[in-house]
Amino acid sequence: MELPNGRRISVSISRRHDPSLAIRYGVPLFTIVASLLFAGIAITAIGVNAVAAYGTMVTSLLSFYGLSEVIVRMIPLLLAGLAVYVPMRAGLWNIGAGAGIYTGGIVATAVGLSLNLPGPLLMTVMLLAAGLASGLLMLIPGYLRAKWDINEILVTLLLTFTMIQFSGYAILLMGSEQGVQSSKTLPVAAQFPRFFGTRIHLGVIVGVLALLAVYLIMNRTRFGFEILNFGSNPEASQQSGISKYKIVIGTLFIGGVLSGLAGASEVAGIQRRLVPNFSPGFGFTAIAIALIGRNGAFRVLLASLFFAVVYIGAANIELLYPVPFAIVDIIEAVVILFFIAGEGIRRFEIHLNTSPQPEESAEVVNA
Amino acid sequence: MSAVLESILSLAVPASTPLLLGCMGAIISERSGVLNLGIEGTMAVGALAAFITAGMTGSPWLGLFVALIAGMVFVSLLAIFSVSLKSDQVITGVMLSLLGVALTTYFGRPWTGRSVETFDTVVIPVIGEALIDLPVVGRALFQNTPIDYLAIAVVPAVWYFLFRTDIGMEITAVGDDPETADTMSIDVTRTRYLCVLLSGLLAGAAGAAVSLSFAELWTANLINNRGWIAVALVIVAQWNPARAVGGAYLFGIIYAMQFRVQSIDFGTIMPLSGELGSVYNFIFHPVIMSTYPYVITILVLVLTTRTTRKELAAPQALVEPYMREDS
Repeated sequence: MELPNGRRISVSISRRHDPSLAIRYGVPLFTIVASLLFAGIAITAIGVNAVAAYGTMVTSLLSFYGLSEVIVRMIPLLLAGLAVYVPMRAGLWNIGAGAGIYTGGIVATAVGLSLNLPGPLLMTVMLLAAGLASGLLMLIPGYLRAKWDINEILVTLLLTFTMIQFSGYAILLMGSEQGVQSSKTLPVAAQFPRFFGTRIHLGVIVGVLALLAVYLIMNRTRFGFEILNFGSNPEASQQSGISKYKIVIGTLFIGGVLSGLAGASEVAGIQRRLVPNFSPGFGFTAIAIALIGRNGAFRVLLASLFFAVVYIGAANIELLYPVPFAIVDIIEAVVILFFIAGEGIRRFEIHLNTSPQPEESAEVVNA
Repeated sequence: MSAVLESILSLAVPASTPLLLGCMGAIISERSGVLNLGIEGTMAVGALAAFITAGMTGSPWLGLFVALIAGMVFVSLLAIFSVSLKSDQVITGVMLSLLGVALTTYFGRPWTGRSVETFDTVVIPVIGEALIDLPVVGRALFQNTPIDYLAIAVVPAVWYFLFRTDIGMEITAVGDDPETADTMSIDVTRTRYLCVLLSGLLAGAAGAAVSLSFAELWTANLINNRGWIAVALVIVAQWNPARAVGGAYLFGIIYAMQFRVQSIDFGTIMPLSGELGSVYNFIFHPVIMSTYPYVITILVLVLTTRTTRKELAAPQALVEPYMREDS
């Protein structure tokens, strides 16, 4: 709508145009300060000096080992984040990265324990099988959404809990001798090699390749263009000949493959056997990572770096102070909640400033 | 055999209480268009609030009351974020669940393993006293805690509220088509706030039912996905409180069977147990049975969509934040 003074009024209020500098930098700063403050209260509440704890957190993060652990943590977060990111670009919610992670972990363990192949070949087969199995699992929500418009949020969420429970059965099937709550240890040929005397493992290469592949698919292929097109307006894009089946099933399949790789890497690189709850909420953190990085694959990388730092920092506090491990989840949840609050405040500001009500403006002009 | 059945049923009834209460809350919230994935966390908050209050005052009733308040206070975050700030309901709900479970794990540690005053089972007067000796179902139906009976009483209340009152009609209107509701001068924001807060109240009660009635203790992972099952139950119930009862008891029975199934010899009661023995062992494996609530919900989702040939009974505007186009 055009006003007499020539200014266009945007009807969509979720669009934000040129947020002021104060808001652009103030909101992220507010997110971090508010989260640290909130977690600081929780730490102080059980009688630990929060300032000292934060000091240790920073120094331990800046050590060589601390930094290497951040990278270790980034591997599953990046892969799972990308697994949510790709469907998100098509306007779909994959909150089943956890389902893919567990499927990938189960399949990788099964392959690693049963096939007798030389190391590099075995690891390749493990990754391929894990990715394929998780991709196939995600065909369920994909097909249901494409064919009958069944809400993919609910199906992927339900699959997550199904697979978490099922992993308990898989562990029993592949169990070790003396009733230990884990599968047999993978043979050496199936264990991902680690580098530089740290826990950084082969998964880091898988992550980088996946990142590049996702970037290329989204930005350099016709399929990627169609995904974006579909995501911004499903009806119009279908009228222009883009297949809903191809986009919906395709993006969820890719999401499944990526989360399967995350699970396989975590099991073969870190745990080296299938254990219960080997994914401490990676699938849910991935939602936040994709949300923050939704504008590009490399932003997903940055978001996964951020959450890896949060996780390792919080874990270091837990390690060095008598603070329950739940502090990690508290900090993570609070960071994300303040982040969304900040986003909301930022949007709210914008729609007050640049989108006056057309009717009211018109009345003012008439008067 | 009837002893096994009786033991399954008498565990299934109290096990279904938190599912039923949580599901009632989730239905109210979803019918107004707000998907509340924070039920799990809200139940955890309610459970700990109830447990601590009962421990300090000696009154489980006061514990239940505080759980209702705590549930509402905690879930108000979802209302502020998703309704006022238009943030994404999925991520907000999931993070509230993470936060609720983590906060209660964190601050509940001193209460782990303590015993407090909890709800005792009572036999329903007159009817229960007459029927308590019925084979198999007698004790399961008529000897439970007050909170179990309350949960049953809540169902018709919620049903009446949603389907027979003006506010209930407004809630449905807001959940299906907020734009039209708004033009009919229904306050979308206020209605959604009301529904989200009610869902927190009921989820808080569900938490109290776990800590003060079912488990009668506090541990770190006490809620153990009951909140997520309650959310799944909404689908099985097709957003209708009356239909949630059957689903809640079905899930309660599945839960109870996980603990009692070892005492059942399928060779004697199931056909073709020679040929299908390993199949039965798989189907009735406790760990496999723990996936059933989720698998059943997916199947219900598929079957109802296929048979009704429309978008389920789901509120049309579920998960969509509402903003006036012109503001």
